[in-house]
Amino acid sequence: MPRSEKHIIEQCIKGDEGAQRELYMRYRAQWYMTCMRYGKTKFEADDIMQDGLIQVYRDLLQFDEKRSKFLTWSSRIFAHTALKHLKKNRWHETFESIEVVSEKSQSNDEDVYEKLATKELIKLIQSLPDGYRIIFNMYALEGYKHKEIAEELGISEGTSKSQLSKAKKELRKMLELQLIETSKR
Amino acid sequence: MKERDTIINYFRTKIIDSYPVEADWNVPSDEIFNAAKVHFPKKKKRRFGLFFLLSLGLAIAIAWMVIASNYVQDNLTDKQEIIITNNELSQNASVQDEIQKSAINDNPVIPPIEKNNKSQIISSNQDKKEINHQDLRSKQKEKKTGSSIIPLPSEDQSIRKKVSKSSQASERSSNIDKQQLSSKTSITQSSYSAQNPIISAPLDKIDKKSVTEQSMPLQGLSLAKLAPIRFSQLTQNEMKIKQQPFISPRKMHKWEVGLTTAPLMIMPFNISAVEEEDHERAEIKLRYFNINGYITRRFNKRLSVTTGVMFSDFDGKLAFTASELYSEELGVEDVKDYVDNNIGFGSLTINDKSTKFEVELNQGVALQVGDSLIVDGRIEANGSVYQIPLFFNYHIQKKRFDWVLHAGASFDILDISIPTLDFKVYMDDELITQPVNFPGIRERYTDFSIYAGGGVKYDLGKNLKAGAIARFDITDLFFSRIDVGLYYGF
Repeated sequence: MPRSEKHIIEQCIKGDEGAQRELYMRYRAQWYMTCMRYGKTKFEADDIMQDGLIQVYRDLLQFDEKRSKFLTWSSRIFAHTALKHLKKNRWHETFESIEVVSEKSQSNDEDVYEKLATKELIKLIQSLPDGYRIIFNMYALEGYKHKEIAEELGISEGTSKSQLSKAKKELRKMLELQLIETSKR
Repeated sequence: MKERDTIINYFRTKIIDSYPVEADWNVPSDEIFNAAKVHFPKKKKRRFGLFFLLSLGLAIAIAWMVIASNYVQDNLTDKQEIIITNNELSQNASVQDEIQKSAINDNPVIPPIEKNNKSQIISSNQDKKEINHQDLRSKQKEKKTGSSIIPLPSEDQSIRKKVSKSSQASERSSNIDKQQLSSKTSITQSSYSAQNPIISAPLDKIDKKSVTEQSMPLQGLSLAKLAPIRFSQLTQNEMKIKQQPFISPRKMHKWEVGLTTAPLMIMPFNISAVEEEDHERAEIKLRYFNINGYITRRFNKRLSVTTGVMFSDFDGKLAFTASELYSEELGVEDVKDYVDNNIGFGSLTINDKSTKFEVELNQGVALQVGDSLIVDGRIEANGSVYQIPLFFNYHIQKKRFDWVLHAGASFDILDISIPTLDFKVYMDDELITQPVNFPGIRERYTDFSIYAGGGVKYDLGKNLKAGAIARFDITDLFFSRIDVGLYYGF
C-alpha cells in the first residue's frame, strides 16, 4: 500500500532513508525540470538540484501543508536555490543591459505550439539570457508578482517587467523558429 | 494581457500543470541524490552497538569479579569452618583417627625450642601467669560482649560426643610438652586472644568438661591437630594473615546520600580553546556549572542502585574569523561553502527545531573570483539540563576504598537556546553583507542518556565518604563528566 505524502514527509524528517528516497522518486522529474529551467546548462541544473535537495530535506520541518502543496513549496526552494546559485556565480552580468520595452500584443496560432514537447520548451527557456530566464521562470511559472520578484532579486519592478517582456518576445521568436524547423522536417 | 494568455499559459500548461513523464532528459542521475543524501537528516543513532559492547564488557567484568570473589570467599569460609566450627571434622571418623594419630605423634613433630628464644618469649612462669590472667579477663569480656567464636548448635548432641573424644585427643597432645606448647601458645596471645579464648587460655587450665559444654573443643580440636605443627612453624606475620577471617568488615550502610559537582566535563573538545591555522581562528568559551544530588540503596556487599537529580547549566560562545578567497575553481572554500560547512546551510537546528537565516550580500557588491574575503562569525548558546538518573552500581570494597562501576540511564529535560548569531563578510575592510536577521531559537524537549563509568569513594569516617566518579554519556559525550563530592551513609 503506497504511503501518503504526509507520512513520507514525517518519516523523512525522522531520517528514514527509505522515505527520503521515496519522496525523491516521486518528485524528482518536477524538481529537476525546475532546476533545468533556471540553469543554463545541464551541469548547472545538476548543481542546483543537489543544493536544492539538501535544502528541501533540511527544511521539511517548516513545511506546512495548510499553506501550500508540497510540490509548490519544494519547487520554490529549488527556485530559491537556483537564484542563490546564480547570484553567486554571475549575478552582476544578469541584469546588465536593461531597456524598458513596450509590450506589443501579437496574434498567435495556439495550435501550432502543441506540436512542441516539454523537453524542447525547457531548452528554449534554458537558452534565454539569465535575467530573462529568471524573471520568466519566477513570474510565469512560479507565480511570483513583479513586486515580489523585485524584492527577491533586489531590482525595480520596472526592470522585472521589462525583463519579462523581453523574455516573452525572445521566446516567441524562438518558438516560431522552432516551429519552422519542425514543419520542415 | 493577451500575450500572457498565450505564451505564459502555454508554458504553464506544458511545463507546470501537466505531470511530466519521466524520460532520460528530465530524470537526474542517482549520483546527485546520493551526494545530497549525506546531508539529509539522519536518524538519531543511540549507538546501541557501542552500548551493547560496553554493557557486554561490563557484564563480563562483573561476572568475572563475582566469580573470583566467590572463589576467594569460599576458600576463606572453608578455612573459617575448620577453625571455628569444624563440623565436618568432628563428624568424620577418619579425620578423627588422623587427629589421634597426629596427637600421638605430636612429640617428634614439635621441634625443640632454643633456650634463647624461650627466654625471649616468656621470661618466667610468673610472667606467663600474668599473661594468662589477662587472657582470662579478655575471655570473660568477650563472653559478655558475645563477640567471640560462633558456638555449635546446642541440639547437636552427637557432635558434642564426638567433640568430647576429640578433646581427649587434644588433651593427650597437650600433655606431650605442656610447657613447650604453652610457651608457644603464649606467642599467639597478643594476636589470637581477642578472638579465641581457647587459645588465649593456657592449655593446662582448659577444663575439658566446661569446654565441651561451651562447644569450645572444636577450637581445642583444631589446636590438637594443628597446634603442634602450625604453632611451631608459623611466624607471627603468618598468624596475622590467619587472623584476617576474624576481622569484621567495615560497616555497610543501607542508604547513602551524595552531593557532587562536576568541575570537569569530558568532552570531545576543550571547554575553552583557541585554534589557529594559517587562515582561520576559532575560539570557544564555555561556562559550565553542574550540581548533583544522589541517593543510593545498597542491597548487598556488591550491588546498589542510585537515583537523584543532576542539573547542568552552560553558556557557550563560538567566535571564528577566517580569510578566504572567493573561488570554487581554485578549490578554496568560498563564502557559501563556509556557511554550509560551519553553520549548516543557513539554518540552525536544536533537536528537531530549525531556524533559517540568510547571509545576503549588499546590493551592488560584485564578487570576482580571487577576491580575498574575511568571514567573521559569532554564535551564542545557552542551555539547562535536568537529569533523573537510575544507575546500577557494582562495588569492590578494599579497606577504606569503595571502588564503584556503574551503568544506567537518565531521563533528561533540556532547555537549549541560541539567542544570537552574527555573521559578517568583509572585502578590503569593507562590510559587504547585510545584517543577519536571526530571530533566535529555543527548544525545550526531553531525551534520555545512557551512562557507564566508574570511580572510587574513600571512607573519611564512620558515615562520610569522599568520591570521584567518571560518568560517560554514551549517547552524547557532551554530558560526560567527572563527579566529585561527598557521600553520607546511614
